[in-house]
Amino acid sequence: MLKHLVDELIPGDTRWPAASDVGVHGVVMLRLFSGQPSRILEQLSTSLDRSSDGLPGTANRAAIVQRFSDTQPALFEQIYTAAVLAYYEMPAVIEAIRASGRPYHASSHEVGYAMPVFDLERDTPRHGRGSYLRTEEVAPLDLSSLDLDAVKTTKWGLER
Amino acid sequence: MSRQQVCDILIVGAGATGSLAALVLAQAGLDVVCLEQGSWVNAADRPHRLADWSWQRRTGWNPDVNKREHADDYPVNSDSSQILMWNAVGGSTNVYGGLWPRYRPSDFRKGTEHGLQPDWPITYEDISPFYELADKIIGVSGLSGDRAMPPRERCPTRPLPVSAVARRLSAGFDELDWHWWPVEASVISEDYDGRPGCNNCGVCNGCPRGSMNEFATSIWPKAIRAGCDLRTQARVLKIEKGADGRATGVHYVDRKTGQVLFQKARIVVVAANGVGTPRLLLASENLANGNDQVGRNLLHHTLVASEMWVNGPIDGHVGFAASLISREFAETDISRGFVNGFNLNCVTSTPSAGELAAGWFSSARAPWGTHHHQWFEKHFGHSIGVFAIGDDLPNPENRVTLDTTRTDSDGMPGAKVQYVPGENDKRMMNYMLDRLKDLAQACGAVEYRLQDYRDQAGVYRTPAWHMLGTCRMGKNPENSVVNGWAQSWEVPNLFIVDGSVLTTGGTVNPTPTISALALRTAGYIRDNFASLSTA
Ligand SMILES: Cc1cc2nc3c(=O)[nH]c(=O)nc-3n(C[C@H](O)[C@H](O)[C@H](O)COP(=O)(O)OP(=O)(O)OC[C@H]3O[C@@H](n4cnc5c(N)ncnc54)[C@H](O)[C@@H]3O)c2cc1C
Repeated sequence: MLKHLVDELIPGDTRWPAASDVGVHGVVMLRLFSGQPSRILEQLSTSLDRSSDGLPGTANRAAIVQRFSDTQPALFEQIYTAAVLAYYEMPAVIEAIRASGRPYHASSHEVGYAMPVFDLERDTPRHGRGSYLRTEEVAPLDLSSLDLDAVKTTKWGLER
Repeated sequence: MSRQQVCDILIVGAGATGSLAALVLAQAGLDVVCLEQGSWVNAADRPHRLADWSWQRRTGWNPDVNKREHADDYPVNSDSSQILMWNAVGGSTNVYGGLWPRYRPSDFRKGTEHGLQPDWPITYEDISPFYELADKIIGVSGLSGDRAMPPRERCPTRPLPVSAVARRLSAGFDELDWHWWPVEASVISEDYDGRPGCNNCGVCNGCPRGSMNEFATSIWPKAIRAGCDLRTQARVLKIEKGADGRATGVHYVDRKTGQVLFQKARIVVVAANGVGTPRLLLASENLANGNDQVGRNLLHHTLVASEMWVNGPIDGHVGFAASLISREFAETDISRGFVNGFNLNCVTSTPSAGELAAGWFSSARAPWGTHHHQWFEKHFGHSIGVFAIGDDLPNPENRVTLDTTRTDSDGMPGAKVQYVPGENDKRMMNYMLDRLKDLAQACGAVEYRLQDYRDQAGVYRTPAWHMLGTCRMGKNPENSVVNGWAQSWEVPNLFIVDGSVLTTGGTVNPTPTISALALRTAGYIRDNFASLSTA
């Protein structure tokens, strides 16, 4: 049911398997829909099936998925996140990560990663920076310049 | 002990602080009963060893009580913050990160410094020996000699390995001439106390291997051996008060049988965390709340973050979750436009390729479609996360109350949490974001994204893994719930040992301070048991 969709989301190439090659569609179906697709998904699947050019990544299919993401953003988010997490837990994908040169284990908790131990001689910081106020050094500050009551910050965070 | 008998000490909650209090008091030969609403968490049930652990971290093992369904939880209705906690033996440390930094002396003196927070009734010097004791019991890695902190004893184990992320960040800090130091962690770098040293797996939310101190596996077995009677699936519904104003014991439901029982006690110690404790006191006919302070002044810390990507692989998925801490901005500097300070808690990256691609610290994630793998190859192994975490000012309207609309499975009202950052907090967060930008640039980031934890409507939805201040300690019974020994002002044989007693939030993760305080309070109860347990 989700086969075409997951391949649009994560297509394969020479180094990476396509999502459906490693069974992502089945995992997503079970995790999100307990194997019971909704009507919306059935419709989506039918339109992807029928799209004339057939291959993943082609304009028709990408447009259908884009429309799905625009009209059903919450459902799309759910499916995309589940597909990505499922994809990167698959043994063939982990192999592809390792083939790209990065150390990576499926179950790193079991095997861990080798790292050189902290060498006190070599690794102790030598910058000499840092200070703190001792208990008896903490003294009243003049806050008058702050105007915390009068001046209100309206733009804060990313909109600052 | 028969359930009809009076025990010396009744502890509510078997989390971090409940376990430490149980250890100290049971080792002193007192009859200690601990009631925990949750169960034991079996190592075999943990997701760490499963192929789908990234998925589990977002579902059944999500630390957000509102994003998982677990029979041991109680409803927490939050108008803003993400409520992160775990209800089981070991409490929230079943899913915590193990960063283990201490408060600094000025954190205890904010009343003197600027008066927008009260002074603690104790000083850094009062708590300092208990930091050392906690570190030895728990097993901590780290490096003494940090000039930004008071001197400390040698850590039980040496610092964790220096990761490529740490090297990259330290070069950035050096460029900016900012302080940095290897982070202290409740993760042992070498075998310690029968537990294996860390294997650098990176999956640091709890640790079924036992390299990270989880209180369920490292503290509880000792407390039980010392004689503590730990009853799981035992939810406390109400603390009972006698006509003399003293606590007489607790009503609790044995969730295995559904029976409601009463356990009499000479001293009641509440360790149910910054949400669970005020909830229980309020549900106990407003116990210890004559001054209307219970549940108020909730602190989470000001928190913003950045995610940066650098050229050249740094494999942030390898090694302990955190790398460095910078205390450059920890003290108040009025010229910045606000009071209080913050720290830069540098983590590494997510240990999970899937999490990175699905979106981790920020809005950045791999796009769907033909560019998916290109994005992944450019970003995986190149990412670094940094939190800026600061001391938020208390606001009595930031609070925990009872949720009158929802009850837990035993009919006890749920908790309601309200939290809005104040003017000083907003100014601090703006400043922090600018400094995160400086750091990304100094580290040569090819790309970075900032995170302010505001949703589309502008609501600040901080991941609230720190629940503090809701039963704060103070010098004055009018504006605090407990005194400097964490003893209720109103109910003399009632003590609170969890994070709710912190007067201020400090600029770092709080569990070392919470643990040190719990050890200090437990020692006080032990040493004064005869007088405290009689009217
Ligand atoms: C995801 C995450 C990451 C974190 N990372 C860090 C970190 O890196 N460093 C750090 O310093 N801190 C961290 N923390 C915070 C740390 O876990 C807490 O500070 C610590 O666990 C608090 O200890 P506590 O005893 O106050 O509460 P908890 O450990 O939460 O224990 C409270 C216990 O009380 C029980 N309880 C509550 N109500 C009742 C009742 N009515 N009857 C019976 N039992 C009850 C609960 O079930 C629970 O087991 C993290 C927390 C989370 C959630």
